[in-house]
Amino acid sequence: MPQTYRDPEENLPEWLRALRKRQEEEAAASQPEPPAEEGRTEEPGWLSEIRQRYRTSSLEQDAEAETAALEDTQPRPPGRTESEPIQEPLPEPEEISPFSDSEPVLEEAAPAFPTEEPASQPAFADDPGDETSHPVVPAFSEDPEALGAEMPGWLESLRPDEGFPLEDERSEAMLPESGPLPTGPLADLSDALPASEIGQMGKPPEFSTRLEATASQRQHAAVLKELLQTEQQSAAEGQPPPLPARMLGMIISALLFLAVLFPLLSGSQSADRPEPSFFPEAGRLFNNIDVLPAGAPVLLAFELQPARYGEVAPAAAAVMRHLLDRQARLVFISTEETGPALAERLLAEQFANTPAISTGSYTNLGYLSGGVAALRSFISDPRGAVLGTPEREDPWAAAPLEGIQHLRDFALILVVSGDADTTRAWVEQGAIELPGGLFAATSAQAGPLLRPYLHSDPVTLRGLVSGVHGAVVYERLRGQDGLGRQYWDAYSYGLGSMALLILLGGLYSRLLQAQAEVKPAPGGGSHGP
Amino acid sequence: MNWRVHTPVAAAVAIVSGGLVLASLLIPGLDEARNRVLNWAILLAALGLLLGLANLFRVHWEKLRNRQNPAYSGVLIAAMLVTFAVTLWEGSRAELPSWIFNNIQVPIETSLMAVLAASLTLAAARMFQKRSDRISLTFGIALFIILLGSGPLFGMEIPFFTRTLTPIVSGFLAAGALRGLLIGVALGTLLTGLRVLVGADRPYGG
Repeated sequence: MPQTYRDPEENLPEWLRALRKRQEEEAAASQPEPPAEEGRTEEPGWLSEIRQRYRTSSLEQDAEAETAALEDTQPRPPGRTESEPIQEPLPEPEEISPFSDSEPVLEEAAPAFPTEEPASQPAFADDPGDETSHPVVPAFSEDPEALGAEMPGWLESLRPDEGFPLEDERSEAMLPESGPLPTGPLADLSDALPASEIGQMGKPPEFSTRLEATASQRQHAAVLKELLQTEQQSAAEGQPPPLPARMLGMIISALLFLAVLFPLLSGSQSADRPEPSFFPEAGRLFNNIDVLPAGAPVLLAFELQPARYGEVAPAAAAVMRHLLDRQARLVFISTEETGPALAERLLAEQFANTPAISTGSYTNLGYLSGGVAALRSFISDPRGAVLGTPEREDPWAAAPLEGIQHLRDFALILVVSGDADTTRAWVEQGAIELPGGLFAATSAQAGPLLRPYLHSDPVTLRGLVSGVHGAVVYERLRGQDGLGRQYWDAYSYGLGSMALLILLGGLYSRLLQAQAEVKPAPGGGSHGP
Repeated sequence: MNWRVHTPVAAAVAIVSGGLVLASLLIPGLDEARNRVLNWAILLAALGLLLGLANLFRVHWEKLRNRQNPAYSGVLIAAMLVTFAVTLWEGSRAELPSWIFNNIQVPIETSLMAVLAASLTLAAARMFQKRSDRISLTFGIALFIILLGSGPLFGMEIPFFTRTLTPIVSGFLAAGALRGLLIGVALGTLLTGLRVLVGADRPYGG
């Protein structure tokens, strides 16, 4: 059967083609007139020298054997080791075998490797079938002089140094002595570890250590970086803001200060007060307190910080005054460090003359550390969360608190807070233990944030008084003037001044920007087409 | 000596504690165990405060030694030590600790809040100089509606704002947006809790 012939040139990689082409050009330059009998001007110079070496050393070798021997100087075509049926009678092995004793030429051209040892032979030479179909003739030798040819530079650089173990010797040392040979696709490759040594573990997942950010995230990061750089630059330069900006800031501060201070000093109480009918949440709180029996225990969660004390104090004072008038037993607790001290301050400032306060007929459970976890613990088990201290006797031993076992035993719970988060924590954590909900007196900024809880079903926040505005409403409900009324005119004038300044300042700023947009750039013309 | 808790131990403690508290809300009879765990949290939080105080002292002591703004660090350390010693000696409700709190800490923090009001007014006045797009215009209109409806201006109430427009904006628009925000916060909290429970997040440093 005829054997299909494959031209090895077709399977050459690109880099070898380029190398050959370059060497051909060099050879053409050095040998303008190649020997006519060779007829292989396309071969590189070093290959021609190899051919010449073979020709001069073995005159009796025929051209076919030479061609077959030189085939191994070419890259092996892919699929050579595949078990394809041989379709052509092969030449006799002894005629072309490079290892035959009858071939003196080949003995002379034998490589420096000990060819008698199978391990020193190339892996594909061990395959008998492969050997018969494609006889192996090592055209390269470790000693270039043995071939009488000059090795290419890239191959010379790959040669091991003197004294360094040869690759196959290293491979032998590295491979296990009696381990299984590589199988599968790596069967014929040297230096390949057997798959059984690696095991059957799956490939571990690869996690990228790079930051995976989207385009918008990178854009935001760039803006933030620019802001920080600007901040650091101005701080490093230490330059104060320009004079107009400083003057504007000082003028605004002075106007606000005068607008607030004047009504306070003059004692003015002329500003219109809001109508309570528009604030049903304050009315619900009033109605619940107004029906409390005398001596009813009321828990006040004083979650307040000093910064918002001035704003929350009027609302808290209005409600606490109502509670004290109803002779309720006040019990304070706080998960803020400053809460108990601010509660004492408010009692001392506003209710020092009230009998219940002056006689100490109230209980301050103090600070409860632990944040929301502590709040959860207190709501679940008030007695277990708050214990007696060396400074303070057991607070639960007092007569009004003897009956308190659970949070629902309090007649009313009021959260006094400067921000919405703490109030929200109380509402959410106490939703189970307090089916009737609780009440809150907060700052003006927390009011809108807590409004959704006012309309929830089931009810979690039953009543709300927020800010000076809420304090005035509550005082109108009670028909008494208090801190809210004192602050109301100052609040009104400060609010008006603020709105006016923002309006005028905004118009002035817009005017400046419009002028800057209309004003042409100095020395610049139109950028239009 | 390395005092860092090994990751499996810390993760196991966190998962068991969180799982117990969560289960106690669903399964009756676990209240006692839950309260015990939560009381441990209270004690640990109190201990954390003391550790934070010690760390603050250490940091500023190093700054004092290295002369990095030594005046500020010196004042902080002196004030901290004096307040801590006085409160520890006399008790938190005594006259001197109360005086320190009411006459130093409260005025300072309240003054900072007053400065913030003036700063925000200035920033709002200059807002249109920096930006004059539709977002800024929407923000400015909402700001004015809330301001004019928050009370009487210079003693005079504008009923259209206080009784009509502002309740609509704050009671419907703002409340609706906040309701959506709260739902998002709740979902985020739920997801965070689940991630901690399964050990995917380890905010405790494990």
